[in-house]
Amino acid sequence: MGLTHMKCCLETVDYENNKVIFTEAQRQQKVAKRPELRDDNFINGRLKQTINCPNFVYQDCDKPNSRKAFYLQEYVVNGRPRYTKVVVDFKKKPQFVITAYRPDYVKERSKTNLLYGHDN
Amino acid sequence: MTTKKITKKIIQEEVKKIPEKAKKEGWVLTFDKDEGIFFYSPNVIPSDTELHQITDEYSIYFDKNLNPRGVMIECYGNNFVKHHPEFEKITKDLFGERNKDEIKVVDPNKEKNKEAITFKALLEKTLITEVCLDGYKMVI
Repeated sequence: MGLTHMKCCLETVDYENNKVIFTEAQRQQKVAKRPELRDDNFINGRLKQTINCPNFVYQDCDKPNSRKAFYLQEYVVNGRPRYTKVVVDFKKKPQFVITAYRPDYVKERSKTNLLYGHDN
Repeated sequence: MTTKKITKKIIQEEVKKIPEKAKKEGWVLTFDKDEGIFFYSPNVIPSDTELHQITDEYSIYFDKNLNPRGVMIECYGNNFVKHHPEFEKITKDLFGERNKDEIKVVDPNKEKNKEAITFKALLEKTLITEVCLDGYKMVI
């Protein structure tokens, strides 16, 4: 089945106006290890916002030629930032959310290329 | 969000409790080959947990009382295994090659497989050793 015919929990556009989808099947595949993905408000709120208007975007650490890691800073507590991170496969059409979670660290920093925005 | 103030000493003590907690809760070894991410956690990581980076190599999902509820290693093959070559062969033996984008789960509590037990022991030792190094600089 093509991606366009699959049931989606999110359909939106990225910062370059490319269509991005998050299929329900993909969400179910990741949800056991990603408590964040059990929350519909997270998916339709922070996750969507991160795809639409990220603070910065890196090449993914593991698959730099086909995936991007979108980051949106949520808040800072005791000098420590909290981000929403969304990994997107940009080789598929439409682009396709692989996973999302809320780290307090940017794993890609100094490891892959910054593609968009500023990582201060 | 955690209610306790996170300090280096608290983190070290909590990481040392992981082997006991993992045994009690039946933590499993999960390699998400598609993402290149490794988890050592219950089958389902509980809701109401928050991810905290512990060292450059790994993060832990903590609950609000700062109990560890799962370990995550990003860039497992491209970073962690490069820095810990002792994991290379045993990872291949236990999880196979990365030619399929699958999520493979190994339960070291059920498997009589010697490799699963050895892997679990090696991982627990590595997590504790890294966080207790004299020169360890807490990322949090």
